[in-house]
Amino acid sequence: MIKYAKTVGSEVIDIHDGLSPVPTEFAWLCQLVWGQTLALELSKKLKINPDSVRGDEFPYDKARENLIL
Amino acid sequence: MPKKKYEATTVLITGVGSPASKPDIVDFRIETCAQETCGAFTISLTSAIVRIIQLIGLSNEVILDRFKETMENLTLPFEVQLPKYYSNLVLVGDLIREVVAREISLRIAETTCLPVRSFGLEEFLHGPRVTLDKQTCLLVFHPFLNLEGNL
Repeated sequence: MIKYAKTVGSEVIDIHDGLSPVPTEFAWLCQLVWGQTLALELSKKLKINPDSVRGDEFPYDKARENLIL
Repeated sequence: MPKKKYEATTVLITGVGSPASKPDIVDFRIETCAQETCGAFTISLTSAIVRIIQLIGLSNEVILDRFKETMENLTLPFEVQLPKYYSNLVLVGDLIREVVAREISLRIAETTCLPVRSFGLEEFLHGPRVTLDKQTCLLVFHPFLNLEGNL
């Protein structure tokens, strides 16, 4: 898959099990934290408040009134 | 109710003091952390994972030792490589990493408002792979330290 993506010309970022020297059972947890960090860093880059989920932005604030979760 | 039909025990994992929508069907209530005021609920998710590990630890103490070892060896903060093409992100993972990919996809979407797609490895290889192009960033969650020849 990696070679396929690279051949197509896509950017590839690999996040492997060896991010931290932790037991193999919890390697996924490191990947999860890595991803949470990525989300935060992307928010900073885009200057978006990661906690707002567009609750303070028109028309999303208005549209939200019609949501039933 | 399925619970009564199958005599299942139900466990509710939820925030401290949160109202349960159907409290009468819950046998056990496990609380995680104070309810968050943000939209992404990152602390809630992480706390719920810890509670589940603690729950498993009631019958398997080894898992608690391994989790403690994980916490001691987790080297934070991680250096994160930001994607060049962040408006077209595709996340793929195999086995438990599929769940990680889907959770991170959700996290990115709700915090950055970017459109993100996520797949399990098998699903991705059987179709969505053809949507990759030069403006796509593929994030792959995988087990191998050395990728050459593996994925």
